Amino acid sequence: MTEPTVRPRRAALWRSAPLRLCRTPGWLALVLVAVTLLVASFVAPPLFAATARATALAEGLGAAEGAPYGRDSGDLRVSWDAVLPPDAEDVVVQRMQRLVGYGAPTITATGVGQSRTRKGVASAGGRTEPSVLWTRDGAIEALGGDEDAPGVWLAADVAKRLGLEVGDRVRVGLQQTFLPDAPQLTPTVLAGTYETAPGSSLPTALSDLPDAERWYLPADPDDPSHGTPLAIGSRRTIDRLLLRTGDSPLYLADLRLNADITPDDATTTVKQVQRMADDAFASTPLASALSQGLPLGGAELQVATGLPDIVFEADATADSARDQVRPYAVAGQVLAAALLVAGWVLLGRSRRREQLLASGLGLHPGQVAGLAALEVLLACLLAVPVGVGLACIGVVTAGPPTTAGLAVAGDDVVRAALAAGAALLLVAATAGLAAMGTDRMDRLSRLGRGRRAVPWTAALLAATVVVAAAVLTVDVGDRSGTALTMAFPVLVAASVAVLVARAVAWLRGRRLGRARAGGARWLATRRTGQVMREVTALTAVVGIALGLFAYALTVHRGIEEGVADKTAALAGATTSMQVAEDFRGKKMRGLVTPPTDGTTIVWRRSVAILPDFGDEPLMSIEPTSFAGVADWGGSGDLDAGRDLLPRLDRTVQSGNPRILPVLLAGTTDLETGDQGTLDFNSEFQIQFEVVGVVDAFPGSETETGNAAVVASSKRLFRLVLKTVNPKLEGARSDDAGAFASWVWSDGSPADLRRDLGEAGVANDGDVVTASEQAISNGLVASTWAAGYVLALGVVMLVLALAGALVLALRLADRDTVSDVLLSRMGWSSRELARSRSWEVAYAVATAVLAALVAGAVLVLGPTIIDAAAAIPPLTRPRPDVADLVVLLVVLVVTVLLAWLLGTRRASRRNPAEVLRGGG
Amino acid sequence: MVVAETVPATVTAPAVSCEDLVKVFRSATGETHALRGIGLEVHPGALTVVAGPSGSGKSSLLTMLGARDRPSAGTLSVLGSDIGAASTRDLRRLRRTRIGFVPQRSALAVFPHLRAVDQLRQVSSWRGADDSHATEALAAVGLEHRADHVPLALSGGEQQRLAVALALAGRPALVVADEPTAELDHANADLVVDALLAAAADGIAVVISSHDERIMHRADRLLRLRHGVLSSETTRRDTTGVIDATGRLQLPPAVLDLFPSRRVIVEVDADGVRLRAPEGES
Repeated sequence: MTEPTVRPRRAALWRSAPLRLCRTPGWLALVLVAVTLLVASFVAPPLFAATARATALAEGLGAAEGAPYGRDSGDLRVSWDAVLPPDAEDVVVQRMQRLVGYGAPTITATGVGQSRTRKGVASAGGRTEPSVLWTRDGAIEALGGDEDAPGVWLAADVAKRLGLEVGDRVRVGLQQTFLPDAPQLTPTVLAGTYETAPGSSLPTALSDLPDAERWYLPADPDDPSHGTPLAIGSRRTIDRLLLRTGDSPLYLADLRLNADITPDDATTTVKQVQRMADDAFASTPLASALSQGLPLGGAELQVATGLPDIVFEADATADSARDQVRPYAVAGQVLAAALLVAGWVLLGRSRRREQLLASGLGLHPGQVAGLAALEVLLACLLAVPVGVGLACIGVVTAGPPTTAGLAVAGDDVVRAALAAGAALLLVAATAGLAAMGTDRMDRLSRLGRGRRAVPWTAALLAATVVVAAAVLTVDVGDRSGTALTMAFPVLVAASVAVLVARAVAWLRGRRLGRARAGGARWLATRRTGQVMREVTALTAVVGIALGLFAYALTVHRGIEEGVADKTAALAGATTSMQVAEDFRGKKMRGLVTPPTDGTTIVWRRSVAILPDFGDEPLMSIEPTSFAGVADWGGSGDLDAGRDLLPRLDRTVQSGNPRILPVLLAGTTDLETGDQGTLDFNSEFQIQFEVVGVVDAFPGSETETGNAAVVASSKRLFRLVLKTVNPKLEGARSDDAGAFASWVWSDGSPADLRRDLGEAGVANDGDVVTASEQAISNGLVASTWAAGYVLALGVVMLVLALAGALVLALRLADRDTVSDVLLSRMGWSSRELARSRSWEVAYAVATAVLAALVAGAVLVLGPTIIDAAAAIPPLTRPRPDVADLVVLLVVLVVTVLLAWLLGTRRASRRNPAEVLRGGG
Repeated sequence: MVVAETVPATVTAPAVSCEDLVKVFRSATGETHALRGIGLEVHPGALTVVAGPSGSGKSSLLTMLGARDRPSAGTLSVLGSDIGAASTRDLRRLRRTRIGFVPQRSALAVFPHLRAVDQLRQVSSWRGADDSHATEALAAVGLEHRADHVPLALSGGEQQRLAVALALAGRPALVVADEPTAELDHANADLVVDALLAAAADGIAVVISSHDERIMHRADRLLRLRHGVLSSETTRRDTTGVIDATGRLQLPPAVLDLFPSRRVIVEVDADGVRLRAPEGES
């Protein structure tokens, strides 16, 4: 016996398993893609939620940017009303510095003892001028002074009127204006003078500093719109003078929120601020420090910030987005798991002989599972970073529009690793079960135990009917958050695909003779006829994937347009600003003429539509300018309202000018042509006639009510009672029952403010923007969910392409022997490839047909995608011609790929090997 | 019922014994009776060849002898295990440790990603044997020079020989091979048969199926199957006809040729039964 020259390896089967997939790049790619998708499907939802939270917070903070300190601002203002000793103030400041989300505090100190009878003054030479003690960290340096130098800086005009030069003595303090008691003035020196910025009490050198417009400046008690001139000193000087003059000290620490604050830090900060406010009144070092405040022997600390509200709203928006995405996220996970299992089953089928060998050699299913686990180990390890990257790319491209970079936390990596582990177990379980099935196959052939065919099609149809019935029983507003969101379209797509595939196969089986005998198409029809079942099954799979892809396109568009529609119904226009008085007391022209281009005036109040009780919102508009400025949504559903606008200015059919033509938007029993009565708080009534009824109208959902009433201002204000009629002279916004006037604009708030200011109209009223309405009503979350749907649709498209290519490969493999035989009978390889391409084309065309039918059924069926059904109009999938074009492109690309693939594989086959059975 | 029995030189417990063995396959079009009542004993130390036309039930019989399928009826004992009653786990253990099996088209019945020597080493280890068994099995089928090759680098014939080596590796108690020389030339077929005979001589019970007359002539025992029943058995000493359950006598082909009219006169006397062709025929 020959001595062996090769040493055998121990446990070779196990040692070779980890790298085995590398020998088959195609299978490795399939497994890697499936595991990566699975990992990404588990990592993406929390990443999405985190991004949604960060984006919602960023948008909330963005909207609050520049707002005055207080409930509208994310920044923090901490105030206390006493002079604290340095050690005590250090305790307070250190506490503020520990707030994670805020920068260092900048402290302002001033006297707030002024009133209508007590004035802060500077006095010299028997003359007094208004001046109030004030300082802010860095102010003296900005003025060019010395922080350690004594004295105060006065406005140059004040110093001039007092006849003071720098270095002169000056007395500052409070002076009673009515009582003849002696003023509490304290001597100091004039350390310097400053030029006052126009329209401000701040020095020019300070007015341009960042955030200066939000600094606290003492107002003139007689004219709160103007500030009192400032007597600016160093902190030490002002502390001393405040105590000596008997003024009421006020200290304000302004803390700017960090621009790049994370949602977690924001939440922590909110808790810290709340704790600090609580600690000021508890037995804590903070309260102890505050108790040392002078002159009253204690200080009260207050915090003012809108951050809690902003964080709460951001969290609510993120939660809403997460809830809306959840069904799609679960669908993605199921899809990825199904792809992985299907991929491994296909791999197992290609190793059928080896599976039998393993079973024949007595390999335990557990061992087979272990070998499979080892095989996919490398793919799973690779899938962790790749899956996390894919999830990041998906969230960045299809998720909430954030400018902040994605932060992958340790939890995300752990989640990815767990998902990869789950994928490994899934593969192992699949392989183990397959091995167990192979081991038990023998039992199937025992006498008396036959195979029972499962009626899959009937079961599928029954499940579809049951789920469809369930969809109809669930309230339309609750459907989007249930499992029905994905189960329903999947079942419908599957049922339609199976039925269409079978119907087409049956039709083609009956009509084979149309192609020219001997041609590629003729051969394709014959070949398909012999493997009808396999082709039908793969066609159904491709049809389901394409159907869901097409549905995802319509859902994405539907949600985007639906959100635009609902936002329009909520906000009415891009920007709305309340203008209290400027349009009143003018003739009709003044009531309806837009103050600037791109604006329109809308008058609002509530009315009752008799005989029903309850207030309904009334909007009085100028139809022409309204049509151009109002937001008409994205889908065109609101356009019906725009088309009806001209009727508002016409006399009703009866010809009675006392009857007001109105348009109703919302839920109402009234129909076009009906007449009724509008009741204005029982003060007066107006007869109306309905000239149109629509589901939604710009601004119809701004206020609560069943149906908004829309009328023309020109007609309405001829009919309303004088007491509330804004065109009458002396009419005011605070009159009982008065209409509120709003300016709607298609521009930004800043543009509107500027334009109104230039037009001489007050521009400081309440502002409502469409984006704010979209955020506060959870609509923004819907748009983010739509992005997730689109990403899922792209995955479905990839699956459809993969399914079609598998079909092409299966057909090519099926034809290996017959291709050799046919080529020897005179068929060219090109004809054979063309024949197979025809088969793929038939199958994919059938799948496209199934996708179109499924899409039509889903679009026309009950909507399951409206997460905010309370706001009309209803969101439903929106098809477009582009969807059809995309499907046709998929068809063409798939057939081209199949042709290339088939040709390439055929050219690489050795006819001899094929006939021997190994090719 | 047909019972065929060899008489080995030394009486040992049979490796395989079956009685009234029936195998029925069910399909959508009905039932196929592959085996219709086989009685058989196979003893260690002999090479038994099962022959018969296609569809006669050879593969069904060998698959059950290899503990890879269960009988539909009757009893089958392989290496002391009742195949019909044993658990899947027991069958698996039996296949793993004591039975070597070569399936039809055995060129594909190898691990495609392992070197020849590695897969033999792996199988040997499962059967509790050391490395030498692996190399011996390779040498026995003439593949020692291809030990370092994966199956894809081997020819179809070499792959089939490797499958035979896998069955022999680790010295199982029973080797079952379904047409192990179907794709081999004469020289290599002889090599494989030599290996199988050597294994039999080593005390292993070897059962193979084959259409090759040259192999049949080298067998210790030849069983012919026809329509799912044993039609004849030939040992090196004599030929035995088989009477089935309905009393029909099946004659070996060589004897059957003596009766071209398919008519026979049966004479019974005290010494036995004589079959004679009718007058004027022979």
